[in-house]
Amino acid sequence: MDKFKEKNSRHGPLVDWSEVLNSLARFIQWRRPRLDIEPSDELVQILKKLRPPIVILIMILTTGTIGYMAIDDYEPLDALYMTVITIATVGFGEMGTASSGGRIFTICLIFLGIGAFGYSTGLIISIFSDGVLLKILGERFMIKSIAFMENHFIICGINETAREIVRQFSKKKIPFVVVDDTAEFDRRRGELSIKYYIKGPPFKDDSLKKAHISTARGVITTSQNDNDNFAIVVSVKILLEKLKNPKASIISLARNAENKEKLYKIGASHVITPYIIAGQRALSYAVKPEASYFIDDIVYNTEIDLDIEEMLIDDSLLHLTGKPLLNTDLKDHRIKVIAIKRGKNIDTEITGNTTIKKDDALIVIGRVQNFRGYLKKYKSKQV
Amino acid sequence: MYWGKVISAFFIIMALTTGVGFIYAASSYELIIATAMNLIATTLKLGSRSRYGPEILATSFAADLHLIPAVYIYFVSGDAKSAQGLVLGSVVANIISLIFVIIGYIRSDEEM
Repeated sequence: MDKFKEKNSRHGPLVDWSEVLNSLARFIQWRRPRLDIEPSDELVQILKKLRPPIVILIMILTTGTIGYMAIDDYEPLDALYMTVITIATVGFGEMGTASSGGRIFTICLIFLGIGAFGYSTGLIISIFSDGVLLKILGERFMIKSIAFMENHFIICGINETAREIVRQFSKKKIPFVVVDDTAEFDRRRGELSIKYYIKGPPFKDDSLKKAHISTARGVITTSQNDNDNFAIVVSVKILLEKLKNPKASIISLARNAENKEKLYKIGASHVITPYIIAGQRALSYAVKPEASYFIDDIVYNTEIDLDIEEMLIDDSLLHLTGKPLLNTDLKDHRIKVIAIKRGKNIDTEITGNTTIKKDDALIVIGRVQNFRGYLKKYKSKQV
Repeated sequence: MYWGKVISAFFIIMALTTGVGFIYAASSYELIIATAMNLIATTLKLGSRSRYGPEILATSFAADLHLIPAVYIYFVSGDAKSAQGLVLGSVVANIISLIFVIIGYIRSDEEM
């Protein structure tokens, strides 16, 4: 029993009921999330298109039923049956003896009913069969599901670099939304099992709003064309200011080294130049290969239950401030602080007497489970 | 004059008045007409973005779910009393629907 308790306390409970309830709420959309953008009124337009054929069908069936009841004294069910087989041109035969009035009524019903019935059923079938309705419903459901997300990343465009980011995010269970409008997106989405996505141009405000940029942790653009990256960074920067999400970071790729500075100037938080990174990595493997592999394993290998993480001392972690590191509960969770970023300075000489201040960014190393458990414990208390 | 609103209100009122007619006289014609009018009123509210549109659609659905069983009970089982009870329920739903329509018209007039 004690062992069971110990296991639970270290790795968290076996079933996280709050997560189960949240998933259920998301599924039935009980908790209505705040949307950055209202869904388009395409669904309303389609429903409006459905009105005339349905009204016409109801009117024909009612007229036919009442007509047969009044003229030939049919029972209501027989009259309805007679109307249906007449306008559907089935021609099973009359339900009883038809009077002259009844025959004239049937002739009128055939002339008026067949055309109206054909028009109505044709229109209804075309609305359901062209797939637009399903597509719209799918997109609405996707937008509402994404609106429940917080601290997620938005990946703009899906190329080779973005594919690797998607793989790493999926492995590390980091929430993300992909925004892309290329022709091969559907195929790539299937290959990478991307759960949350928006089909649309990544530089458009609507696409970014559908990806719920107001609660995003960051936006990543990895286009091979720097002009696309410029357009996306500018759009994202303006939108983040408008939606009051200043904490979100903008990470961009710059193919051309001289564009790096420009991207920083227009609002990118981090700019990566692939050639420079590749050169630095090559040097690192050449000079200190074992240390490089070790860091690679920690950062990228999900089979090793050890990770380097960043911990921002915000309101939920204020209990860590103002006392020596030795007296905090980090050691109880086997989380080791290896550096503290304070402003632009990085302190790497960490001892038990080092004190933490608000807004510090701790660079910590520890088991993934322990780290997540620790953050969850204090973040949930704050909520 | 906005004909969309006229037609929509017409079908709600027709469903209501024929429903009352059926409760009074238990005529099979009135029951069929009340059901058809109510189904049309519901259809016309599909995709409506008007004020109280969702509430009117919900009350219309409630009325449909009273009238369709009433048709079955009246014509198949022949139980007129139960059918009248169900139609009374649909009349109440339609009155609520009508109240929403009137409030919607008044508020849209105030905003103009």
